[in-house]
Amino acid sequence: MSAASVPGVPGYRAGPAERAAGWLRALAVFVIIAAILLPIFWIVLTAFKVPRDVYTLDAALWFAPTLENLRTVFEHPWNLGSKIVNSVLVASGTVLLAIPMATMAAYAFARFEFRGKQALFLVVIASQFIPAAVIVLPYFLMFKQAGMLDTRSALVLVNLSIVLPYAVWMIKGFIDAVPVEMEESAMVDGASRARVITEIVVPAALPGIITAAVFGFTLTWNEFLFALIISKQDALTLPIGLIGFRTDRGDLWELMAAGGILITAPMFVVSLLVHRQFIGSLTAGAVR
Amino acid sequence: MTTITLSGIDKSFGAVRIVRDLNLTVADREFLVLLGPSGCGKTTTMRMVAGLEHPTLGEIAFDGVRINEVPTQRRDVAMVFQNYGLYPHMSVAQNIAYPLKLRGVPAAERERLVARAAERVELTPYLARMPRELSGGQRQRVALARSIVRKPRVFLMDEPLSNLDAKLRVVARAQIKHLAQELEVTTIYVTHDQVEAMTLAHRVAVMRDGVIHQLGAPAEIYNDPADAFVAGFIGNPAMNLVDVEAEGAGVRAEGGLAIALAAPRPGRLTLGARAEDMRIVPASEAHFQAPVYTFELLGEATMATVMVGHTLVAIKAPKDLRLEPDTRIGVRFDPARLFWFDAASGARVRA
Repeated sequence: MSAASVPGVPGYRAGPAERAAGWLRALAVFVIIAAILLPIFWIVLTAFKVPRDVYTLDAALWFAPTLENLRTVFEHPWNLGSKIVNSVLVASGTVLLAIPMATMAAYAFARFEFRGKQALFLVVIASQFIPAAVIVLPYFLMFKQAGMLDTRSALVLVNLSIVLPYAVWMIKGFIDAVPVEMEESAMVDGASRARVITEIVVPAALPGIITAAVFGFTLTWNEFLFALIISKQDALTLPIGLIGFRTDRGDLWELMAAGGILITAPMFVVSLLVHRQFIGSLTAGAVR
Repeated sequence: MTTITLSGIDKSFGAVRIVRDLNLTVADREFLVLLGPSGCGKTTTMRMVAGLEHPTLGEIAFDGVRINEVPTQRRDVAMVFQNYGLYPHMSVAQNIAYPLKLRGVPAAERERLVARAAERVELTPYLARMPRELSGGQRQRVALARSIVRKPRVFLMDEPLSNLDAKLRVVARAQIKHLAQELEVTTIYVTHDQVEAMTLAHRVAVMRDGVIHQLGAPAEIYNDPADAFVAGFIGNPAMNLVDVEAEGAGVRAEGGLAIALAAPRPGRLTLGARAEDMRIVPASEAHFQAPVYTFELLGEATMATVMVGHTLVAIKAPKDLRLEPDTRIGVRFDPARLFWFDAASGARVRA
């Protein structure tokens, strides 16, 4: 290779092959972005259409927007308002319980030596590989026995079982990256184990803990199968609310799209807020 | 005001015995250096004093009171870690103040003590910074300030200078020595650098394989090494150690070179002499002759190296001497500064 063909060197000019590769790369990126964003774009458009416009391609992009759908979904019989309340309570309840528990468990897995540690950790992770369909019936029967069917507490419990293993695993990774010397130096400085964890380890692993919290919130917020089986009327969450729009009079796409916005929007806001934290956490430990 | 006593300390990690039946008393206000190559058990010994490791056998006592079961945070020790162990989410001031905060010192008093500690290590302009915004030398000083902000019973320093560049190390070493004299706290300092040990210590414990080979004042260890390991570890350059066999009136090195020195006893021995205790002399006065292997200018002196048997032997020479490689030179030992060791065990053989 001649010196002139080294990228980044002044006077460098891309050859035809390199230029073609560049275009291909751009095209690939565009296709992937389109595949992800187009459905969301379509849902957003549909949410502001009157039913007549939903089924005609003439009004695919140009139509008179309406806020009617976003109002209708909060009215009887849809009542998405109460479902939003349920979703918020279940998701935040799950995260508020899961994160402290997961942090403590992760700390133990990261720092303590005890018999069967490896095996136990494996079991925790492996519990995620059990198909939900297998355990949904036992859950149903258990909650029925306990008289907890159609309660938000039951949903929180179920979601805890989903979120905890992920959270333990994620947070453990971040605690592993916290130098033990930091903890030892805090102990020498006079800190008890509890203070070491709350004042040294948790702040140092905070990006990971926030990541796990957001991830757990998202999982719970979107959870469908268990909510479908366990809730009936009082504890219905947003995703279950959406199936209500499939009526015997046909599918009410414009209302479903409006509900879809209500489900997606909070996640969108949350991810924007934690975006920086998230990126920081993904690259944490890569460089000193 | 604390005397540290280690009695019969053994420490094993699994099947590996890191520290073997160690007995050591560090006197009140003494500056003791644990010196040895990596893996010799020096850091483990210090960590047991801190309570970060627990002895498999034996007793650790402060002022005669057993502390084996006392957790680290209640031993009232301060420690400077090799990687400093700073808290990355706290500012320099918060880092230094943390031990005081844990002891419930009121904020105003805390501020005063932090300011004083920072001033002692010249960190005052950096108090508001975060650790990641500091250079290595500054971080090391934060760790130092954090350990001196209160008056602990015992100071522990684990290779605090090893992450600094050579120039900074000399400055920081002087600073630590100055601080130690000022604070008068019982100190254990771990290092593999014999220069640090020689310059800082009241007493040095030279360790290898979990055993203290020699315990004594730096001059004692330098001038009167207990065995070949200590002799070879202390000094720069290290003491010349040549394996020889007593033969007739003299000794013979491996490879056949005859040295005109009377051995203290027959058999295989190791002859030890420091570079500065040998002289380049005319052939008639020489104990042996050999061709120059390399010749180096050191500035304040020169260093001639010759091959004796399979061993390189360094001889310190006046600074204006010039020698070409392969020139045959005569070498004379200072008989008063000559050491004999058993070739197999390394034990000192006194004449």
